[in-house]
Amino acid sequence: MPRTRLIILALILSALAFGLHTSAEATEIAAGVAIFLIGMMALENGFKVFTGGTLERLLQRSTDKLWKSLSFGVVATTVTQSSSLVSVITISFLSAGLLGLTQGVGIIFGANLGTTTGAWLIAGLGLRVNVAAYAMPMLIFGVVLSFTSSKTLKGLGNVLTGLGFLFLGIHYMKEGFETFGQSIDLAEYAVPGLAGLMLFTAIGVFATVVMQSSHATLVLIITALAAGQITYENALALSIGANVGTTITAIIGSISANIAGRRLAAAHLIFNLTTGILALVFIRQFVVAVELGADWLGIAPNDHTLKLALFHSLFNLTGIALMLPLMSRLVVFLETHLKPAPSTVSSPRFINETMMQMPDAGLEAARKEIGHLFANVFDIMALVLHADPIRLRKGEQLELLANAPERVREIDVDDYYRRRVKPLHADILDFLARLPTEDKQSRQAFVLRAATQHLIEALKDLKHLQKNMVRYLVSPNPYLRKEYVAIRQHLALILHHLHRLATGEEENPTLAFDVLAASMQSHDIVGNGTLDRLIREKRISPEVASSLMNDNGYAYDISRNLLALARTAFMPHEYVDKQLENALHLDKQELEAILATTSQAGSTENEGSRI
Amino acid sequence: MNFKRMIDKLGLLLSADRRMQEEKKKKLKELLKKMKAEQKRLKIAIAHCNDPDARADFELKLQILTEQRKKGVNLRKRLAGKA
Repeated sequence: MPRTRLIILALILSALAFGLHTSAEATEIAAGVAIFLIGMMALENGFKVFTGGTLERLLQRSTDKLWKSLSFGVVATTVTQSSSLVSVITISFLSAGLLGLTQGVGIIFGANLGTTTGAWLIAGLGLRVNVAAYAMPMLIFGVVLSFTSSKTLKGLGNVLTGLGFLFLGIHYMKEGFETFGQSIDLAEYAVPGLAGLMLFTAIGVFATVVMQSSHATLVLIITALAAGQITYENALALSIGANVGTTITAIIGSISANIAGRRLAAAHLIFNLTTGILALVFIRQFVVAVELGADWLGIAPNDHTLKLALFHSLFNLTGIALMLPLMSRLVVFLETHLKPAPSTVSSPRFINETMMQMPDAGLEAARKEIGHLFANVFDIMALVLHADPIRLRKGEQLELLANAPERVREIDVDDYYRRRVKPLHADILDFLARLPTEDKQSRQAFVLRAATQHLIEALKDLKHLQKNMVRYLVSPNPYLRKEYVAIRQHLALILHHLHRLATGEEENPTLAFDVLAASMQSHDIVGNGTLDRLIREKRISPEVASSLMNDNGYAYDISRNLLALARTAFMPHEYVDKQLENALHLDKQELEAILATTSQAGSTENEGSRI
Repeated sequence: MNFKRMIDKLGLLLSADRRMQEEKKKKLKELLKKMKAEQKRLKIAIAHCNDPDARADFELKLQILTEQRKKGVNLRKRLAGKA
């Protein structure tokens, strides 16, 4: 921790200790805030478990249009009562490339409006009902449920415990301010006019930065206002400050995020700063609008807590109304001014620290990063096979692979591996090892880790194969040359088709995969008798045959490893899709039976010229 | 909506297993339809193909697809039996 931060923390703790030592009421209020924050944490954890990925699935499915993103932000924040949880999920999804910046910004705008429902709930229910009476049974049932083994019940238990602590925290804050009011009247220290507006806005920002929760600040403001410890005008300024201060959580969260996450945090800051300035400049007009709105909604003239909730909603709604038409410009501005740091081919593009809180998004990002790793390996393999990586990806001039290359050169695979593969592979392994996964997620992480190993094995085998390939691709013996050309062509075509699978270009991945698996079987020259025939007919010497047999083994292993990688990383992986894929997929025996019938029909001649 | 259908819908809403089973059936139905169209397309391609290598490729694909579809049809029958 930097020294300045340590000093600030020490100062805050000392002030807090002094406050707690001198005033029993301050202790009660501070304990209320602490209990409230514990409740927020338990509620967030509970929702993460309880929803079992529902929030994430909703996020993916219901954010294709701006109004849907906005609605998602409003509804998700209203239900979970945590804009931080919604922000963190959004940043994770944006960083993983599962969400566009426009959708992300829409969600954040919606979350800003959704978070204002908290003020309504506290002002409308929290202060009128004896919430502590509900807190106790909630805590008891919550704790009992959190001891169960069922994930859903455990999550539900956490949600109940969270709500119980929230209610208990509100109760203590309310009690604290009421007792405080009997001895000291803080309202005497109210600062009127512009100075008060600026001072209390700054206090609101500071309080939210310290507590890392605008929700907690708002509860504190509302309970203090209800107890008459702060004036209505100062409470309005405090709520503006809380709205600006809440962006700090997103900014801190985005420090470890990639550029997409940082852009979203910047959008959050711009939105909240703009609405904050707007509310400060037009405070009189907002107060008039609140009076009119309160009258229309039937809120009593002296009910300042509900009026504060209305003010909070109104200025956030105004902010959204003003910023929505400028959304596309804001996105362009962010993309132009916040550019990604120059990255190397071996730096991760999808995985980052923000995903540590969202294992599902993290696994998806890891899968995409493995696609990136495959792209790097693809380039090296294409060079070793004397194929242009760009053309091979596009499938251009594939027929030329049936001939030996004009020039043959050896590629330094180790050097390429060290520069383009090893650092990225290490980052993926480190990420998967640290990702907090459970049950199915742990299995997925294990399988993804194994997939990267398959890819590295394939590259290492190609390095060994290269030694003889550069020699025999230009061999004067046409039979030997033909076999090495066939190996090269087969591997290059497998790479091309795997690229199509990785990029989702294959319409029927299960069919494409099984065709590749059949091609792997048919190219086993030991298994199909080609090697024996070449030796019998004295087309190649037994010494060369030994090399060819080893290299055929390498080619088989490369294909097998690449297909194993594809099965894990490139094939459908959503639960139902994966189940269907597994059910329809043909096993080795089934493929061999098909190959035997095609062979009998005499239709597998010149296999070397096909995949 | 009659009472039985309403109970059925409620059951579907409450049971994650049943929801998944229904999704599986729906996706399998779509997949089989696509596979059938692909089979037809491959048969036409084979009939019009003069290049023996390309023809052999098409035939291999068709055979694999036929086997996969056969498995899919069996799975659909099993799923229908379970319901």
